[in-house]
Amino acid sequence: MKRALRNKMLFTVTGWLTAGVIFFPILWMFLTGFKTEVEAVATPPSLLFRPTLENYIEVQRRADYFKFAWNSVVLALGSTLLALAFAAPAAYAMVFFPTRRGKGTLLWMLSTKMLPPVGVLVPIYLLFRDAGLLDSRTALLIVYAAGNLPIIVWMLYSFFKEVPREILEAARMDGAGVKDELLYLLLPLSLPGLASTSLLSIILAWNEAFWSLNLTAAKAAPLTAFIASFSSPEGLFWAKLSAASTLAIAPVLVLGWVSQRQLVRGLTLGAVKQ
Amino acid sequence: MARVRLRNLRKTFNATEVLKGIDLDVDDHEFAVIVGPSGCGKSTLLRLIAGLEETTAGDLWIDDDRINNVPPPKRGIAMVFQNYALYPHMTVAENMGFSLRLAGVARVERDMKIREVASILQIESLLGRKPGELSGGQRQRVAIGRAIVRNPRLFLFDEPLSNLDAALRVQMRLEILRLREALGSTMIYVTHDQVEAMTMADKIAILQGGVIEQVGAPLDLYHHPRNMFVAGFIGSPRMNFLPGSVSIVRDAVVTVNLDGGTALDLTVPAGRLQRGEKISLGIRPERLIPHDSGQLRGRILAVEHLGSTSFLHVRAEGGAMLITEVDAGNAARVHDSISLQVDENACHLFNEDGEAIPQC
Repeated sequence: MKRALRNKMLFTVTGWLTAGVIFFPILWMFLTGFKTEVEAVATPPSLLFRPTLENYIEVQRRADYFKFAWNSVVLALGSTLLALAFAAPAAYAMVFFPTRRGKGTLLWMLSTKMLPPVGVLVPIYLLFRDAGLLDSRTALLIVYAAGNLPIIVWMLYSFFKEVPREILEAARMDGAGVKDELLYLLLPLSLPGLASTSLLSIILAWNEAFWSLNLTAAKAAPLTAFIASFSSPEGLFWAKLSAASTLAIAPVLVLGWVSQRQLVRGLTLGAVKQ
Repeated sequence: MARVRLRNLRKTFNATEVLKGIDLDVDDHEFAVIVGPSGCGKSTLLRLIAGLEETTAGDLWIDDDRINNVPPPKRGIAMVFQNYALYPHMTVAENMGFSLRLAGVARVERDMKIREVASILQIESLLGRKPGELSGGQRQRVAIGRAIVRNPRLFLFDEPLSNLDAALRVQMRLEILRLREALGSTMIYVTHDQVEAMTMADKIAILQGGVIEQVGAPLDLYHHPRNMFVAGFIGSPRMNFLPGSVSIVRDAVVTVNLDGGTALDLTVPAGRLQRGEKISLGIRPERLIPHDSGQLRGRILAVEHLGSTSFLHVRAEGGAMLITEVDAGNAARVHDSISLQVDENACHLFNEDGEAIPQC
């Protein structure tokens, strides 16, 4: 009994410590954003300081936050919708018309995520340059959607698999076509899964930095490029960089916070029989 | 109104032939039960009729329409699935009205139809609920209701009662029969439970290994099984089989020696059996009667009291296991010796290939 209690305490403490380690940099960044540049680099770090909004004002003055934010919103939502439009039929076909190569195809799709993106940087850069798509949202939409497609297909595949075959067969007997099946049954039935898939895709697209830095300049740049622009020529300005970063991650952080229940439920859906 | 004819129906999955040429006629208003052990292909057969699987070869007829290539909803068939297959996110009313909604039936007419069917099945109070809030029996009713709403010419049932508990199963069995009286539709019902088959069917088709072993009325199959498989499958507890061989052939009378040493004289058509041929003697438990001068001797291994009747499990002297049905008042106990009387007229005789040899 005593031992069980001790173990429980140990686990609890470990849990809180891990959470603290993960959360600390975010907290520190948030605090630093409200310090002056001098306080930001002070050693030992100043814990008591008079908060200032100076950095935020300066950041907004130097670069238009809302323009970058709008690009991020368009790219995250747009690429997610685009990827879903391709992934839903693909997953439907894989689940309900299985072939011998289905599983292999799925694994192969996922394996493309294991390649370093930099391996295809040059060809993709040249392709978009020749197509006149450099620094355009279209280019990033395509790259993000294609990049997240394997994960989305994989997730939808596992959610669709949860839907009992007989239900779709019953619908077929009732006169449902493929469109009706998708619209009236499959999508409503896998709504929790669909929501968490979309959420994941939005977060991945929002945080993506490699392609956005390499393919955009000013016009189509999202928030990741906005942050990067504060670590340039004049040297590092920690306080301003922190303020910019806070602004960049705030929307997606709030989104994740609001929907974390949904996200966890979606990611563990099907792990146990209900 | 529907007459179903299956002609040389075949189905192959990859390289495995699941149905090996099925011929079956189901008449209008008939209740046909396809029964067989699991894996015999009975569900596949039903799915072929429903249109959920494509036929590999053969013809499917309903009345004068060859429906091989007709898509499922156009066949005029409704199917009740084993696990109900209700739409979990829809209410009972929406479940039942889904086919009408897809067919573009107006809301008012739809609601009227749903209410009408719900009242037949006594599920009016459930119309607003979702399947998750219903008991097994209620779900089954809704599934049947969903089938009735479409007003199909043919009903298919795929083991609809196997997920219900025993008491409910008996009740639903009666209810399906009552429904069938009320609707007068043709029904094809698949089950592995021979009791369901015996109690519900006008016609039973026994399927094994993708082949129909025998088709007939329930009592016809019970009294005149064509082979050992049918004889053993129909009837509960199952028929007793005693191995032996033919020792003497005199025109129509043969003497068979059972492996325990017992000799019996049986009348069979002349020329059907040769001397020395191996045979199996089949006798139903209720026709094996304890009697002091019985031909078979053995020892009781177990006694099952069902209340109204009792079953004695007996090891015969030849080693064969026998079951006999006796009155509930029978005082026989485990380890007792017992003699059993074989009624020659109630015996079934099977040759080495398991085919029945009719007695004269």
